[in-house]
Amino acid sequence: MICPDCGHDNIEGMDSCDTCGQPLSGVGIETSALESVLADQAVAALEPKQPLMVDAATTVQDAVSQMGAHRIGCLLVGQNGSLAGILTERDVLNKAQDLSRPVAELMTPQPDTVTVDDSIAYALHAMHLGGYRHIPVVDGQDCPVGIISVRDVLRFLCVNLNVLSTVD
Amino acid sequence: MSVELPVLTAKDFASDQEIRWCPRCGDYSILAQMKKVLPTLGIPKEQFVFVSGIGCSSRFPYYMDTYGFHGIHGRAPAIATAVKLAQPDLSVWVITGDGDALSIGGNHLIHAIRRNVDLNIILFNNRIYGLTKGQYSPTSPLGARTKSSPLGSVDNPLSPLCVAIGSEATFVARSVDVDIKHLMSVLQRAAAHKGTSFVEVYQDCNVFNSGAFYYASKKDQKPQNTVYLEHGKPLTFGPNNEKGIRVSEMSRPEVVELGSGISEDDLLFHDEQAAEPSLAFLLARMRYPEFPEPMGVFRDVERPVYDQGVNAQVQQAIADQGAGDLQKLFNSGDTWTVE
Repeated sequence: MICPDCGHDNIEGMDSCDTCGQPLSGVGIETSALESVLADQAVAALEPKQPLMVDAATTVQDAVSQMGAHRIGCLLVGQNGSLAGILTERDVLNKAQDLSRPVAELMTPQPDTVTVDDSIAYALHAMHLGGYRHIPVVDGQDCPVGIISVRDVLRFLCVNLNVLSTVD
Repeated sequence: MSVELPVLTAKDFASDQEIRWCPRCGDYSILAQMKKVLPTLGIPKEQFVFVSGIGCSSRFPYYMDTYGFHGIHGRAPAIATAVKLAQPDLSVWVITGDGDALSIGGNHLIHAIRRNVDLNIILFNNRIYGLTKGQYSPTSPLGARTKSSPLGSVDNPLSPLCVAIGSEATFVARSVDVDIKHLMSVLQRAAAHKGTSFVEVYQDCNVFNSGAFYYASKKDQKPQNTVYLEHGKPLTFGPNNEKGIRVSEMSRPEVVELGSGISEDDLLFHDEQAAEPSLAFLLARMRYPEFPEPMGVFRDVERPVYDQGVNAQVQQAIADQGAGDLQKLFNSGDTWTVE
């Protein structure tokens, strides 16, 4: 039984947390399995993939080739180690007219981001709010350390809510 | 014959209500620290009252095994004022949020503060409307993209502490939900103060505004982004206390590196008892990322307390005119009978 206050893993059935004294009665009782797993688990549990990074001057043609080669739907645009923007297949479909132009002209600059410590619920909220299929994961210095997609969330939910086992 | 008070523990203040905050919400920590602080105050359990308005934080009274009042939106300070006036011996706490206190309840808040009613007002600031699932609040920063500001907020945010200081608050403090010991000490100081104690608590809404205060709560970021106030001590901060806050000739705060000709004597020394609120205001306006944000007690001064003043007038009136008679009052003056 994880204490929602300090995170200490208490023995099941404890009335209060061994470490901080926070009462544990009722913890998790009213929340559904879905709510619990989304708010309890952090983005790290989605195992964010290493993002594919390109320079802002990379041409759209090059970027598309790289996305195709790596079978991914988006890549991050970096500048001096920090995140400058995100380029998705949607950007290419909707905005690209001249594939020789730099990605800087098509990318979404300063995209919304999450950290590995944010809850999955928050990541989903941010993706829903912006209509994103992908969202970059950054560290405390806003340097990109990963990327997550709706597919990662689906996979996580299937595993954690035992959907796959019922399909079997 | 002296009456010995029963020894209370945090568990004595836990109600039997199921807590309905999201898992990992910062409210849990504030609730836990409150339950730990109350037994240390030497006040009988039946003398505590928690009054709230509307919002996630305002579910607080349900979770305390004390008297409580889940009030109407923004009106907790008004209800609490009445409670304190009617029963001056009670320890009255107002639990509110950034929306409840600063949007719909802004008017009630400033008047409770300027009157200096003996209340402890704890404002959970998560910079978002959590209960209604993610709209921007009066403390959301410029540019915040939320459900109600999809293109980014163009509203300049309020600073709760500046509002309180501008309302002539006699006790103003700030802490962070997960800074357990600091939060406890601030709550104890607030309880000890006579008059309105206003405490802003940075509270993480891990679902709709996650990480809003990581800069002030994460171990690797907190030392360079916060400065802990101690009365009579210089303002130093940084992982090794290698930086400080100095006031420039233009009366503006500036961050300086200690050493190379600058010593602690050159820094701003905190004075929470300063008669003028200008120092507290200067500190309250120090915002991340330009400055480290101050934590602790900004201001703690004495001023006549509203409920004491009102009740002194009532006692004087009784002494002068005798105890009142409500029925007599109803029947006095211009009265008529409707037939």
